[in-house]
Amino acid sequence: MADTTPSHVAPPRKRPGLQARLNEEFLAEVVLYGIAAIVLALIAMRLGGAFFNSTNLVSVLEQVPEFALFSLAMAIAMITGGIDLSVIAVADLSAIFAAYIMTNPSIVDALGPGGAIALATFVALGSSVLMGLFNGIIIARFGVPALVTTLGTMLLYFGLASGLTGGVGITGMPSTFTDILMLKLGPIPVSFCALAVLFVLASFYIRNSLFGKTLYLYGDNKVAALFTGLPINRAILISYALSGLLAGAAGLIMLARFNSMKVGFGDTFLLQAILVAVLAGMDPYGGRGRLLNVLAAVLLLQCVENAFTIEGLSPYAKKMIWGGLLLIFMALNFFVRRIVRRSLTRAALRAG
Amino acid sequence: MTTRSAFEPNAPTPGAGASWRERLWPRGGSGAGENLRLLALIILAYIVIVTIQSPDFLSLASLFDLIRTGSALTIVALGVLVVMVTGGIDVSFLANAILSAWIATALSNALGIDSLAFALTVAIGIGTFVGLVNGLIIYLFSLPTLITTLAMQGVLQGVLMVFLGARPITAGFMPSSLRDFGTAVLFEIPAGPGFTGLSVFAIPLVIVIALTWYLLNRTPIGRASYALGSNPLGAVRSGVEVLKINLVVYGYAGALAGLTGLMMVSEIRLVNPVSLVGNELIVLAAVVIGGAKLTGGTGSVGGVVLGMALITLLSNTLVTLGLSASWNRFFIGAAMVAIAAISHYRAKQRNLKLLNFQDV
Repeated sequence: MADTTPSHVAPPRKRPGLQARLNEEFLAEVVLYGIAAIVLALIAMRLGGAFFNSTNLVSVLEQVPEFALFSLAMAIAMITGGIDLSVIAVADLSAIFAAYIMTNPSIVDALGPGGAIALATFVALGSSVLMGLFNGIIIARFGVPALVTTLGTMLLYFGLASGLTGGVGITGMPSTFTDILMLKLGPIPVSFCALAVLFVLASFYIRNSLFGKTLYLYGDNKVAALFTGLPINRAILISYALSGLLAGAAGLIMLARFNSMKVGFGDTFLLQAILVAVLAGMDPYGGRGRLLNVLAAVLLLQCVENAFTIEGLSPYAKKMIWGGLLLIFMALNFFVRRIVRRSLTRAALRAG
Repeated sequence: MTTRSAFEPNAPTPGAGASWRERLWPRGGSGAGENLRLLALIILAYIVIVTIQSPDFLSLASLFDLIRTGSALTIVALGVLVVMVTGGIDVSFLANAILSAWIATALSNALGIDSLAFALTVAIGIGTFVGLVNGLIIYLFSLPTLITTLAMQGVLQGVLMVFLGARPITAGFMPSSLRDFGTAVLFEIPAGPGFTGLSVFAIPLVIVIALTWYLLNRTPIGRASYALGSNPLGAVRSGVEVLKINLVVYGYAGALAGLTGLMMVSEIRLVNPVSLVGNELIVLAAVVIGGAKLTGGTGSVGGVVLGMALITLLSNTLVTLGLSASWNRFFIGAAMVAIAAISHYRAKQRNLKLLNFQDV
């Protein structure tokens, strides 16, 4: 009986917990929360009460939503080993649609302010889903790499937005719309509560549903995913449509925050969204990372951003620091992954 | 028995089946020639449309104008092409260009050296150094090239603004040799009320086109780059030294970025640290429109030149067609997506026929 087992089949694992304990995602989490602890300690030492007071902490929570939505969109694309560079363009264009509707007197007269806001929200989210879907079609059906596709559609959507507006901003949203961000649940902004719920649901769904598992599998090994017979193309399509929807929601929040919309608003979020996704342990090559950590990374970076503002750093200094941090995190993750892979190989050699 | 199987997609199509479409548009080949033909057709069609709208367009003066406005970005696009052939991407080149040009101009001023050769040496030297750093980082930590160079873009801009405290250098404070470089012409022809000349930028343009073509098609490095791009594992197994290739391609792209930076500041006669950056997409679009794939292994010098010609044509002539310049990016994006979709779709079908699942 024992001899019938072919030699190339691995024996059943004797220590089932090993892989679970030493996996890359776990170590990436250790890196993330380790960095968070160090950074918060540094901020506490340098700024102390100037940072850690309830007003400032609530303002951190208030500023997070659009940044977090962009990062979530980027992270979902990264699970599949792709990237979505068009998120800012999608947000700008769909928010411009919404702004046109809300500031158009004839629409407001016909539907009333509430109706106009509802229509604008519907159009913005609908158009952003369509834009994301278009990305997905080009990527999944035509086999164009996500990077090239979303670079191209970024030009396309930005171009459409600047062609339609002529590069001029649209201002003067109804106050009912801009007041949404002011709502609070006790001391905590409602927008942040909604965001936290969204992250928990998204994280749970993508880890446990077949759709989510398909995305992870595709990101980890495209060829293997192809041979499972799972509806990969559909999953990729849906994931980019989702990414578009999140970007559209972020666009609406930006519109409410600035009370105006112009092409190029939120440009700085692109580098930061990538940085957050990488810091949260999403592997840019795909297949790894937990979405819930993205929220933690967003909060961490927003804390750092606030600390920079208190210190009075210029936007270019910030950009330099973000860029430098991105390089350092990626190098750190590289070493972590190498250590994990080596120890797994060693464990496998010992076991076999 | 059959001489043509699914495993020979390049085999000539049987003559009997050759429809007018097949004759006009032969199938097969590597796909690169196909792309060039498509692009040339699009450009011709566009020129016809513009000429119908404004008959003066078809002239030597328009060509000279195209060369003057397009040469700097074409040069940097050729650098990006070389990177893309290996399967990488560089988005830090314009930040690199402006940093190199700013340092070259500031150093010329500080040392009181009014020499084009000196400024060129400094700009290209700094550009190359930044490129080498890119290549080294990407190799050492095996990082995604987009994210690395995106981070590098932020770092370079930050270095310029924070450490060098960069303020714009206006025409009055630029070395006269640099100012003259931007306006110099090789020869002049009468055009309309005045004269139009062929910009001196044609010289570096021709040199870089020739050099890039030679590097990609006639040197072992070029062959290794294509090999690395089309099959990384295979290339490494057959002895391609990835570090060497990385250093050469990113260094070359950096050197061309330095050259471009100097050309651009001498043309617009202003070194503004916050200008340029943000136009990376246009350059990348030109390279992709020219048939280079991000998955590596494809792309040609001719394609990049045609791609940049199309983009420069678009940006110079949209107004003659009655569209505001704001629509510029829309058309460039549309062209980029369409051409990438066509070429990748054909490659995908070819690969599926070959049971090759490399880029599914």
